Amino acid sequence: MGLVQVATNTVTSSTAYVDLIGTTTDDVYMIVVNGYIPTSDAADLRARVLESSTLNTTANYDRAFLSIRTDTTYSNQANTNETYYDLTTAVGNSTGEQMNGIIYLYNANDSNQYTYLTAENVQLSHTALTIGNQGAAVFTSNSQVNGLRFYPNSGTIASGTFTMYKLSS
Amino acid sequence: MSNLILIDETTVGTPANRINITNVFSADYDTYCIQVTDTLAGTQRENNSMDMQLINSSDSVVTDTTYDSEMLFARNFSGTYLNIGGAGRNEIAILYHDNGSQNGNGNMIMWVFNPFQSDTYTFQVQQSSGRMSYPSTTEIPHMSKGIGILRQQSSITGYSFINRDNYNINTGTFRTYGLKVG
Repeated sequence: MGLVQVATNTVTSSTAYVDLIGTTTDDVYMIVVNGYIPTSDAADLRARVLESSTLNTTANYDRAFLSIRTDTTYSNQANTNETYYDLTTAVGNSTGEQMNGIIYLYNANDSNQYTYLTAENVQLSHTALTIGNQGAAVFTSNSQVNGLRFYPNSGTIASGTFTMYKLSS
Repeated sequence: MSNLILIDETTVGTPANRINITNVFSADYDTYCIQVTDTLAGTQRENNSMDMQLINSSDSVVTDTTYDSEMLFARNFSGTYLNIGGAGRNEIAILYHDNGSQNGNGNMIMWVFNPFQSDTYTFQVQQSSGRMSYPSTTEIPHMSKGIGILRQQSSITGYSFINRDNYNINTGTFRTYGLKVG
């Protein structure tokens, strides 16, 4: 198995969002989020699908995550009919605080299927608490998705590298 | 051509309590994938495991309590996840296994973020599976999903596994890949 890069974007100054475009085949795609830091403390990292590079904001996003925490036992995080994929829990922007993670995308290019993802991430929250969100999410529309947009729920992205790879033989 | 580049492959030759994998993290990559396969301990024990620690640029193992680590641990003994870990630990991850007579293989895939950068903490996400002994000598399968952070702004160049109770690590292969951007 190989990982072939199809898109990357490194943010080094305040940026509203990052688009990763290039899910043009029926392969599985992997996205690496490295060093996401929001400009606003406690900002979640969210994502939405792009169809022909156009943002889809409809209430078609479901998720089921386990939130792993060092201060208490894990919790379930589940939502249906949201307007975005919610990937994190209040990421901080003080010293050392950031989020990193791996996301796999399935069936994005297939117009006859929902678009699925699995994710595993690790972060320091705005209270310097170590949290990991691991789980799955679905965009419940039969449509052809050609990428994802990443954005914080408040403020902008201060820094981070977002890279998408195709899993190929 | 793949952007996932094999940096190092180390197979345990001589059994030892600690296995160090040195000089694998560098300025060449920011994201790494570590694959650990077929580890076996030298001695049977209930809840046998290895702690993973990091190695700094002075080739010293970071053994103090500046790690946070937490994992959901499922084993074929109870129907619920165990939460293992917390803040202020002295390991960034734990891999359960046991000796060969217990078929106690340990396997893990871990993604490591920004270990070499001296101005960031080091982060990891991992998942593991294998077989272990619990209770006593009863062989059972296990799996985990976990996270960890080294809360040090220091340059990390490698990693280390140490078996509990001074038991040896008899077998295992440790592969380290760098993920190229651009």
